[in-house]
Amino acid sequence: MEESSKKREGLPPQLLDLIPVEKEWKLREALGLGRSRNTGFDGEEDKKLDLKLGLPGLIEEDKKVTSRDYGIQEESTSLSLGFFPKHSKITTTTTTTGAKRGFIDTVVTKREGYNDQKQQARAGCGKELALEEMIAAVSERKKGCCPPPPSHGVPAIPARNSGNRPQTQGRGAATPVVGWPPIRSFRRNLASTSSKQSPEPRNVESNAKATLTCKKNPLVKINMDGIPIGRKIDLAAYDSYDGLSSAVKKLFHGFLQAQKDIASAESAQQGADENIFYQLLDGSGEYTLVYEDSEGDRMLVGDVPWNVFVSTAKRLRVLRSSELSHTVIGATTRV
Amino acid sequence: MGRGGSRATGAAAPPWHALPDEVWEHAFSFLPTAADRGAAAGACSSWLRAERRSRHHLAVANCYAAAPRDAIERFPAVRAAEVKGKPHFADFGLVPPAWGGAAAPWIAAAADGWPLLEELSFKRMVVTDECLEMIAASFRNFQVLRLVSCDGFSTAGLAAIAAGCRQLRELDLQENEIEDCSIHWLSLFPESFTSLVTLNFSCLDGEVNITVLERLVTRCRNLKTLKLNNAIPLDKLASLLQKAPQLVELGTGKFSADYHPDLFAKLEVAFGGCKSLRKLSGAWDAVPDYLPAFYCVCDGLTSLNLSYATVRGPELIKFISRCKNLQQLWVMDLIEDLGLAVVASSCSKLQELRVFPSDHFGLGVLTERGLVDVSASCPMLESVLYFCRRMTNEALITIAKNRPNFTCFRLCILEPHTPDYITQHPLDAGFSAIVESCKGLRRLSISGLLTDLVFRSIGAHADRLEMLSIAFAGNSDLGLNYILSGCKSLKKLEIRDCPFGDKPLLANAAKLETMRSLWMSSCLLTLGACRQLARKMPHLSVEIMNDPGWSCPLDSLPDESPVEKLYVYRTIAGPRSDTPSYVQIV
Repeated sequence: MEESSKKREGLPPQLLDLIPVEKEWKLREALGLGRSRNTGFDGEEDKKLDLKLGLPGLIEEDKKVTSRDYGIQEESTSLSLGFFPKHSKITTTTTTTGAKRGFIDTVVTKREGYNDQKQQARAGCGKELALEEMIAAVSERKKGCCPPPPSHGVPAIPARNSGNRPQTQGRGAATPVVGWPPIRSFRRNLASTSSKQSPEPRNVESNAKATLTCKKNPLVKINMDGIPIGRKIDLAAYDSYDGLSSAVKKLFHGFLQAQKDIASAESAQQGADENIFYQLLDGSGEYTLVYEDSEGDRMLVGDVPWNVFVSTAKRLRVLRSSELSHTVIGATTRV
Repeated sequence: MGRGGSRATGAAAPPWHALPDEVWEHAFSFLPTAADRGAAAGACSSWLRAERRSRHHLAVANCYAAAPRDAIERFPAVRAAEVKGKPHFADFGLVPPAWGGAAAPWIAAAADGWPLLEELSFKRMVVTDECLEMIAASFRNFQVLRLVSCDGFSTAGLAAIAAGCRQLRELDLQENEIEDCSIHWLSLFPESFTSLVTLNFSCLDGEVNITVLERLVTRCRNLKTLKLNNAIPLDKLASLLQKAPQLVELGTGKFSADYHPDLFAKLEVAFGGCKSLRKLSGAWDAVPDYLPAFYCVCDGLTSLNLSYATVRGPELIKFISRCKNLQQLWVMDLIEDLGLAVVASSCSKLQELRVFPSDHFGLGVLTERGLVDVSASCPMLESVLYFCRRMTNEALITIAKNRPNFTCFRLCILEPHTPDYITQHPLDAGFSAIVESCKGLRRLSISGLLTDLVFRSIGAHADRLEMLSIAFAGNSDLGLNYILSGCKSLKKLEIRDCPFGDKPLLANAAKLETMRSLWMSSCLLTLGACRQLARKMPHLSVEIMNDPGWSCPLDSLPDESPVEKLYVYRTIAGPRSDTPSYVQIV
């Protein structure tokens, strides 16, 4: 197999000759690695790690871009493998010291290094391959079955990045790496904006079944003060707060009418009904529309963008505006 | 097993050869594990015969490792069978649908060869309604059905079970994808049916007839476990509890409701009557105001699963701090460090802790501190699953020192490649400390920024490790080689997004046959290596998965083609015949 043979004259065949000499590998392992595990580096271990000087870790490479806010040298960790023998100690504290030292030397090659290293780690070469071939080989991975001819540009790599590599803009933001973090799909929707409402792109692979679609149905309950029976409303059927407001009016119009007939009527005219639902959204009318969000808090309808509202609203309530002062809005307490 | 009394000449067989099989069968019934029985069976042909004829419980950890017919032929007296299908990473969406793992062949074979079968358990398999109908029809003594992370069936299948299994004791549905056909399956339990001990339908979406449920609960006086689904409102919970105060394990339904003092009082009284309650779960969307209704059961609780409850703050902590006898606690990271500190000081009997991530970025404060506190103060803690955003080597080293008794340690730092946030070093030192200190570690998941060095430690020290999960770690082939050439007890290895290539795989091909399975996705494997592996190791099944969009015939691809997903497992059944188009067996 290919190798950076320049470093290895006089050494027994290493990691790279594994296939034909499997038995020897095991023997060597027993002699070499076995010792080095317990006591520290012996020469063999040193040499192996030296080989890897040219083959730093790949996955770390593209992470440099994104982990700058850590201000760190992940790359150095890979290259630090080559530094260890010089310190001749296998304690992991030495590891990290080596890592730091490695950073200065390697930061320059950080970016260009990515493609090289990827190919190297695969084929075990030094930098003999042309850059185009390396990129092609990497892009071949993405294309899968039918390998294209070499001399592709870099684009293939970012494509892979966006698909499978996490790329954060900041420390808190989660990025859609497939199947990461490793939690069941049930859990993904829990504390997020809506439980069982928005489809999770991450789950397409595993749970792309019809059953999931029925979870997206945003039929929410809506109750109105003074009316014992509630209604259900499909938020997805409307595209704005105004639409919702008139829908609410339509829903309870009949009930209100019935109740006004029974009760004494100083404003039991048709026109007054319009007024009742007028200004539902800004608190200046007789009634105010509030909703309960996914955290259980009572919130005034109208503050957030419509689609955010649709995904966070769990139930609605038409409150008498006079009740508002008795109701703590936005806190998870009793009403 | 004496030789006493034997006056035979030297050439005669020892007397215990004459012992009838029943004696051996009885002796084997004392062997604690299946592995022991397997070892005994390997001793000689008469022990083999005795052991296999008396094996009542069979666990098939990989449904493709053996053909159903073979299993049934070998173990004709099985009464309880457990079969697992898809690889573990299927839980996280890494295995496309229709991969396989059908339960039907197993049920069909069992219907034929194990007519007295009493228990069936399937995990990560495809179970269809026809399967459930066949179960109901084939086993007259069927008592326990447990389905975990399965899919493919609907409430129609459940209806068949309810109607057909007259002796059913346990119907345990955990985290399955069940299609709701609006069939009132619960009503199909006959009025004369009273044998239920466990009923868990927490994963079911969809309404359930509460009246029917109440009647069922009322007449099943032996009911010990009841886990409701999200459709059961709080007030109904109260009345159900009043009908089944003998419950030991309860999964509440939907927990949120407007606060009403009447409802609160009702709940309080209901829970007050449940003197035997030991395990509590459910509590979706729990509203903190109602938590105090639980206070009366806190003292007796040994297991608390609030991992679906998006409750935060003082009420949660107050609640958990009253659970002095807790052995198992599952929560969301909304509990924060402060909450875990309270857990540490209150729950001295804690054995298992799982902390799941919520989506509230930066809103909660759960760090390594929480885990350090718990591991310092809970001497019996041995199993941890912890999702957090930051970690340090020092914390891990402290944890390792405090808790050498870990058997399961799974740490998931949410952002891949996250280093020690103070020193910016890789977390090699921390995880190395864990494997060096915890000699009994059986399961390990690592995360964060890690180099090949951590694998050297794991390979060298984790002698009892059976399952290892690796993601976004390592620098080179060395990492994988350390693992495969060490880790004496390794059974399951699952790897994703690591720079591991062909060489360590081929170099350690023999190791793979000592393991149950290997999963590698988004690594640096090529088709050529897989071909070589398959040629070398005829008892391994080498499965390759490509993106369902591309399905070139495997033969046409060159050796250099990259392999996106590899799943290798040992099998005596040869290549399976139910692969979808995107899976190819090399």
